[in-house]
Amino acid sequence: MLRLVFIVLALTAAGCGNRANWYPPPEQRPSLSLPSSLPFGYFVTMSDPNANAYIVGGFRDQSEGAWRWTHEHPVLQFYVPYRALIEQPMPAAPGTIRYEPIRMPRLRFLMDLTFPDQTFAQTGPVELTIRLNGKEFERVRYTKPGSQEYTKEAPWEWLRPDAVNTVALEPDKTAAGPGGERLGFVLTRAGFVE
Amino acid sequence: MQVAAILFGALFTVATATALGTLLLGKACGDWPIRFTAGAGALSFLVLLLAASHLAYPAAFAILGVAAIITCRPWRYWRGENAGRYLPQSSFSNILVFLILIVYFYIYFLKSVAPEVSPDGSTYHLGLTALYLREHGLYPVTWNLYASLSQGMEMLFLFAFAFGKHSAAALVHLAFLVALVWQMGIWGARHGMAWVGLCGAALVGLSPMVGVDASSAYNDVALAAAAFTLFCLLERWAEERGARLLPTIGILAGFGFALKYTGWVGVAYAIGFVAWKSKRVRPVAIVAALAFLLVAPWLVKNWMWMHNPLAPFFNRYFPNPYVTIDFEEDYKSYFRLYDLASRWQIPLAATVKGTLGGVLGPVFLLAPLGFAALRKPLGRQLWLAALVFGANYFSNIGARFLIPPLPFVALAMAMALTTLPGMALAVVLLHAVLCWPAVVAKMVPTGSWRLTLTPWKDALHLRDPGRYYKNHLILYPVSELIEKVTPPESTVLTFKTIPEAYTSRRILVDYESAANQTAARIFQSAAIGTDAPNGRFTFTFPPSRLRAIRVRQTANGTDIWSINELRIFSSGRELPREAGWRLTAKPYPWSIQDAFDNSPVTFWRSGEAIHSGMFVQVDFGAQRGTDRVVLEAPSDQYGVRLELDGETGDGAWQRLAIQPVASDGAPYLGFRRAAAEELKRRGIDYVLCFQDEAWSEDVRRNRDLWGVEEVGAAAGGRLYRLP
Repeated sequence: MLRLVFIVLALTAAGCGNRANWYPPPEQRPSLSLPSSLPFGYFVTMSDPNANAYIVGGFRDQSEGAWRWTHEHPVLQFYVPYRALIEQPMPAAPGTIRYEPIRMPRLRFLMDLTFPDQTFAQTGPVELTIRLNGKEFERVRYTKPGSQEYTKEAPWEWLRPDAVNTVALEPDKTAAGPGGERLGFVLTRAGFVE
Repeated sequence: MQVAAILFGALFTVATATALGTLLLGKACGDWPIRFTAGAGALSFLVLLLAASHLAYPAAFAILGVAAIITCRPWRYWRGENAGRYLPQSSFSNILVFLILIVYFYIYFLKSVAPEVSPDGSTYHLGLTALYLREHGLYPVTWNLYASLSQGMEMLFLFAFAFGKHSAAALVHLAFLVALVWQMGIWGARHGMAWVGLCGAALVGLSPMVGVDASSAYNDVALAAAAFTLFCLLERWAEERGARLLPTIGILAGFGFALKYTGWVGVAYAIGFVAWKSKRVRPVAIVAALAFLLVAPWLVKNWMWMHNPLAPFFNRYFPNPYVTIDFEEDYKSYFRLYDLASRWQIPLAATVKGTLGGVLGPVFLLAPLGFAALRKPLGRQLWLAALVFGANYFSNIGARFLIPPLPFVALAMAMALTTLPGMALAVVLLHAVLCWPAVVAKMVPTGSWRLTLTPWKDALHLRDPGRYYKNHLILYPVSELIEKVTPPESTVLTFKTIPEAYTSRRILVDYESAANQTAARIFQSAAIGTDAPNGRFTFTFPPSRLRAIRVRQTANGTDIWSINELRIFSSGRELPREAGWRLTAKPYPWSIQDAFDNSPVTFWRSGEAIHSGMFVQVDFGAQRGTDRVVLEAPSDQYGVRLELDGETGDGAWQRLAIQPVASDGAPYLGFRRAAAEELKRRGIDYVLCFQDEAWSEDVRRNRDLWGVEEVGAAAGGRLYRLP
């Protein structure tokens, strides 16, 4: 009985509640994406069908699902948009607390990588040298196998706005793979984030 | 002065209600508690009419009150002989129990007069009351689901609040407890069981849950009083068949619903009882019509403003943009069991442990003794009423939801206990000891809602209320901060409920409406990455000229389907969205534009668990060439299964692709700033973050990336102004 009452009320209310079910596209927001004319952007995931565009060299030709093997001298390239490097000051309001603006840039280089047990058994601890636009950014020593996230703030003066930036990720040791292939580590994603 | 205003606000409300009750009942019933409770129903309705007409001004309330009191002169009907007749005999036991009640009611009185600090009272009960007074009437509050509940009690609060602010409202609620306890005593005396009435009244009146609820701006005790008054009036009508009682019965039944949705059972009970006893249409019609008069405005208000007469529930039957089905189901599911493992834990949790939001008192574990009263007709009537008014209990097992049936259970217990000499007194004395605030404090966990002894200087507002708030309402300084540093008409998004009754700004609590939930998700996705659009789901198909495309969801499960952006491509270029396109979705079509606004921070969300038949559709208005459709969406919608259909213009849909290729997308640069700007676009001016919230640190560290500015901090919360 209760259900019947609800159905009757719902049918009656249908005209009120769902009157405008079709909508036009709304006002378009400013795009956060880079222009589609660029061959690559500031961040790559190895599941991206366009991942090859980011690879300068030192990787296997194909991703295996969401990840890809590196070789001895893996190098990636990224396009860093200028708008990510400028400060957007907050307009002052009377009577509000003012804070010193934090210096820009706030871009960090981020990558998710894995040292599989099989290759780590061969190499032992691996030191990774990261170079940003040819300058040594950091040396990181990995003493255990498994998945790792690396992230570090990138000095803004090292970055080239609205231009190609290269990142080299050189392991000091590689393992022997099938067919004589030298295997460094597995990369899932890398690039610049805020 | 403040106390004088509080007392005036409360007493004027009680006097007006009593006067209106007198007008309703005339000489048919001289008992003050009945006249007050019935009159409160009438007053609530009249205040609602004033509020609906945007005449909610103190002057209007003053005119109404004075007119009611002068016209009705309620003191004319004070029947001293009856009052004397109903008083228990002055035995030692009677006087002792009476004195205990006096002591407890003194504690309740001090608590009521002190600054209002109850969880719901300081937030929505009085927050909405204050809003209505500022707006001089009802206001379409779509951002707070509690505004959709029936607000008969808020109408009484509004009347009292206009003169005495928050504490006056709490004091009005306490008046209902006085009326209830008094009424229970009278009921016992009328049946020649004055001792039973007094003991039952003591069991209810001393209960910690009842005490703390009654001395706060809540509505549970008012519902209990309305239910018991209805029970008494029906009983009297069955004896006397006085025609004058019928409209009052109808008003009381409707008032129960107006006080709280769960009071609907009173309407069914009253109509059923009158129909059963009279077997005539006219008495039933009178009761039903008057009850409907008090029930209907709340349904109509919700229908008009929320597109759902029973908002915030039954959204599956009345789909609307304001409350989603998945939220309603989660919400109801929690309240059906709270954190208990099984319903068998309810008796101990509600009476001793206090893990259901309060404690009724350990002696209510003896409630099954009350079944002994079933041997007598009166006992059976009590248990029937207890069953009726407890019928909704399992939809929310909070201890305070047991208050409406409690008077009936208490009287049945008293009937059983008084058959054994000294037993009833012993139980009442034990109850008095176990319910003492210091004893309860040792019994229940920290955080369980309970009464504390209020120093009289705090009660009389002779000390700085800030100190009292600091001890009893820890987030009060946040409301104070908001009031101080934000301009009028500001809107604040918060992830914790704050005492919004103490600020005039609009407070959006993250869960209290679908729009608030969307705003909260936008904010959280930027701060901590939850629901971030990191997945790309690509349908590729042979180039086709299509008039419309439809993405269908084909699986059943528990995931919620959402899409941040739906992009359509042809030969590698995205089709620009044209004004002639028409977008829709099933279910929840109201936010479909958010999947076509070029912003990854906004999204369409199904609002209910996935089931086959859901879709998102774009009608181009004319044929367009296309070969690829990409959805940007959270990647963790593992249960979602999608297919793509196309329509060429002949009305026939054909499948274009099944199961898109999933990949990960790059995190967006500028996402935080875009999220902040989107919130601003949605009318939010400030965001409040507390240090124990996961996203708080990100905002504090990255104010520049968000484009926000911290304008103040209080009680662990930081208030940020959006760009």
